[in-house]
Amino acid sequence: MDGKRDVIPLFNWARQNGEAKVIDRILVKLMPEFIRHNCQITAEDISQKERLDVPSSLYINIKKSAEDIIGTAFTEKGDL
Amino acid sequence: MFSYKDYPFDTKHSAFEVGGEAMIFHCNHYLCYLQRSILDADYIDSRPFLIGAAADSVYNQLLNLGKGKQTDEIKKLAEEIYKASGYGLINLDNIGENGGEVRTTSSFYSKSWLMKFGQTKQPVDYFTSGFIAAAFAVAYGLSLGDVVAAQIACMAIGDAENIHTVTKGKSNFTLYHPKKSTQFKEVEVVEIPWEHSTKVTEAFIGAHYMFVGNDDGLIPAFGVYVTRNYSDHVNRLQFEFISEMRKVAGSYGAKLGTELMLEAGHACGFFTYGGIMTSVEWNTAVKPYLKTKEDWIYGLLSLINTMGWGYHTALEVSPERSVFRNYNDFEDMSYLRMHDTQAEEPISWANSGGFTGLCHLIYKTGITDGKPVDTEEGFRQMRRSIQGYKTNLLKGIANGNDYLEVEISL
Repeated sequence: MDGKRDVIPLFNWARQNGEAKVIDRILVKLMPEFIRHNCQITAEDISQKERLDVPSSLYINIKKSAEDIIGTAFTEKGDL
Repeated sequence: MFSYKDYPFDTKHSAFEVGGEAMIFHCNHYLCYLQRSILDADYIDSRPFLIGAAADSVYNQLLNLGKGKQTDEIKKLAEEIYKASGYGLINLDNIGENGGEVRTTSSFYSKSWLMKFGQTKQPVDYFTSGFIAAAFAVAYGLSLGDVVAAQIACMAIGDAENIHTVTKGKSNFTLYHPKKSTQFKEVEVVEIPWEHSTKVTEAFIGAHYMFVGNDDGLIPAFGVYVTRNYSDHVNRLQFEFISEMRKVAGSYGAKLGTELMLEAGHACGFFTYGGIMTSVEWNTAVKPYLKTKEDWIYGLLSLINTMGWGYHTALEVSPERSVFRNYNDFEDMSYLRMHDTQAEEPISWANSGGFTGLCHLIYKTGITDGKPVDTEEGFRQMRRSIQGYKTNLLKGIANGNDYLEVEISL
């Protein structure tokens, strides 16, 4: 079963460490996957949310994409 | 010897055509960001149009300029245009009637990519592949449909040089229908509401002719590298990208893609306009007239109206909200040349992002106080840390209006 994870801390980290439109880049890179998970969300939507739960498989790909773009690893409490 | 000076600038429309192709300047920031955005969507097969869009424009131009010329003369002409436009250096001597190979260590795209993004995993100089394909086709009387083009080595992936090949065969890039000629919108213009506008514009008329490739075929200017682009090549990349994003995910795909197209324009406006505003030429010919931040905006608009991007003006300018217009902007003109049907919404993302970059520069940096932010990291840090401007495309010629109108607001 694909559990859910809150992706907002990851997006916040990306915004703080990446380029201006880093969220948009992640969304473009993973667009087919977001659609597959019925999650048609924009950077503006994300900026207004305090919590956004996405399937774990999508979370893993967002994390990988963000880390690839920014060039450093994301760690958070309980992320390991 | 090819020289852009042999071609007249259309001061009425702020436009410049050479051999039937509209030519406009862009900087390394814009072109690299645009191409990276397209490549980010790796579920789209973008390679065919990245090459095809370039080949189409270059082919049209060379066909016009090469009329009556022999094969070697056409190849020489192509080399000279390439260098004069700031794309680097190419030597077409090894291209024969069956094709051949072109090697170069001077490539705008590969060099710019390395400077902005560092080393990458795939060749990036699609433009030059398209350029060489077009030169081969025109020089040997082929149609683009009979040319296969590839880049097999690239300095941006760590190779010592760029290598491009062309051969005869069924083309491996996108082919396009013939375009229409430029259809300017002849409407009454709201002029820049600034008493010094005409003086500044007149001081810079003809200045664009100075921007020609140096011994390396590059044009360093205003702290960036500029190229004199085929407007329809660059704009077609945008149109193709948004069209493909729409195919994948409808309006959602178009919206996501549009955000990145606007950001490319924003970066261009920020760095290029910033470079202009810290140049000797600006300090000499424009700065004496500047008292307020709004004067800086009007001064910049007055200057860039000599560069071939259309006639820029402003209806309202303030730190909170500005409304700009561009009459006969280069993106709308491209759209009209390529399409028979009206767009559903404005398509001038580079122009609009440029206006946002301008507001950002004037109101969110210390440039008017002599403290510019002009580095990549400085740009990133600032864009992260401040409340950004929103870009709202109000009107566009492509969707049935008389001009491009853009609102920039907090």
